[in-house]
Amino acid sequence: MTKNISEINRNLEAIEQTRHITNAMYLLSVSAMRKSLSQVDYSHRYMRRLCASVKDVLEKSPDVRSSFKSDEAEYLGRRDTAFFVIGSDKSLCGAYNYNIAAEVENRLHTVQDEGREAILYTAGTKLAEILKNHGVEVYKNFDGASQYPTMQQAYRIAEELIDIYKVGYVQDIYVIFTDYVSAAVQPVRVHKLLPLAVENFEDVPSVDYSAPMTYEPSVEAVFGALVSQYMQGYLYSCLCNALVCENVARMSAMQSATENADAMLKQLSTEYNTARQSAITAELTEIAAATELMQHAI
Amino acid sequence: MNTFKLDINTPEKRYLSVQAQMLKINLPDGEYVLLAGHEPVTAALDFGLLQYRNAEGELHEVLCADGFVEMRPDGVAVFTRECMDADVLDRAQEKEETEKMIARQKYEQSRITHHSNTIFLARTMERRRKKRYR
Repeated sequence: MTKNISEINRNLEAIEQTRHITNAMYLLSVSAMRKSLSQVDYSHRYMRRLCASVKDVLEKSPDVRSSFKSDEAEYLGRRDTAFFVIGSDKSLCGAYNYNIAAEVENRLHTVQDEGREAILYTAGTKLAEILKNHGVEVYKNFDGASQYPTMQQAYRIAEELIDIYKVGYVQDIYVIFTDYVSAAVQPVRVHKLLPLAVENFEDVPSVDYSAPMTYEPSVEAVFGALVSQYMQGYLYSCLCNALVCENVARMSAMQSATENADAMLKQLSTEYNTARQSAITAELTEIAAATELMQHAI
Repeated sequence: MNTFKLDINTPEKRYLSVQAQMLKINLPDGEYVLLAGHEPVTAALDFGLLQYRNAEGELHEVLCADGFVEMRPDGVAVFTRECMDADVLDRAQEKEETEKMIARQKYEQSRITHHSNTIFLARTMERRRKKRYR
């Protein structure tokens, strides 16, 4: 069925406007992705070095007494679990938040099946909204932490998580975030932050020293400092990774939206030309018929 | 004089990487000095001034937050949340405060822009939908 020319025109105009927005957002996300990617490289190297130090202390000083170690946590008989989930503050990034929300729900079911409770912390307003809509209670959302990750934000989050662990509210703390592996691969990862165990660092290479390591002022004090640095550094690294992934997701979502808009514009242009041609043909036929009638009349 | 490699790392960036003759740090129970060839040691770092003497023998001071220091055969690595040059402390503080303020403003602005873009998009889609069924 041939559409009205003015209707097609209105559709073309609307799609053109939408295309302008999606294209602008695509360009913005490309620029933001490049900017945040530079931080991820350093962050990965920093974390590898920091994890090597934590692993070293865990391996070489098994007798250190700390509630941050897994054997001590089991001894204290804690039960509940805390999750810190990193999503995005903004929407229009495809299935980015939904993939994370699916993983969160999956984890929550597992915890609840074991007869335990879960406390949920989020960084990402949009993710918190999605989780609330799915009936998941979010205990606290760190507003702005996922969009502009800073050390201050990571410090604030780490202190809060360490606090709830120290007072014995939770048995373990996990972070759920999207890890940037490459432009095409960004899996949702779940990493156990606390308690610390050597098994958490299996992929980290051990360091070989020429002489036995000494700890100043004591191995417990060093372990405490390591845990604090590890939590802050790891959370900052996760926030940076998640920001890159968010921008990559937004980039591909906006790119496909722009491509769809282009395809629609092309199709509507063809329809418009066909409709215009039909209108012209109809008009010409009418004129020809009228002329013929007039000649007969004369 | 023998030197060793000194790296000061924060999660955001590598703050410093130099050859140093000496490093003096604050521990919770006092000061500690590291020289080249020191035995492997890991020490908890307390908030305060960290002093180092570079290869030319000049003394420098860096203000560090808490963290830890690791002496390894390949050098000394300091891991801290944040640090700044003690000489430019005031200027750095001022700059940091300004940056924080700008970041906050940027965040607010981007939220407003994003919100208005979302409304605009929704309005466009609604207009299209209405026109289609008119």
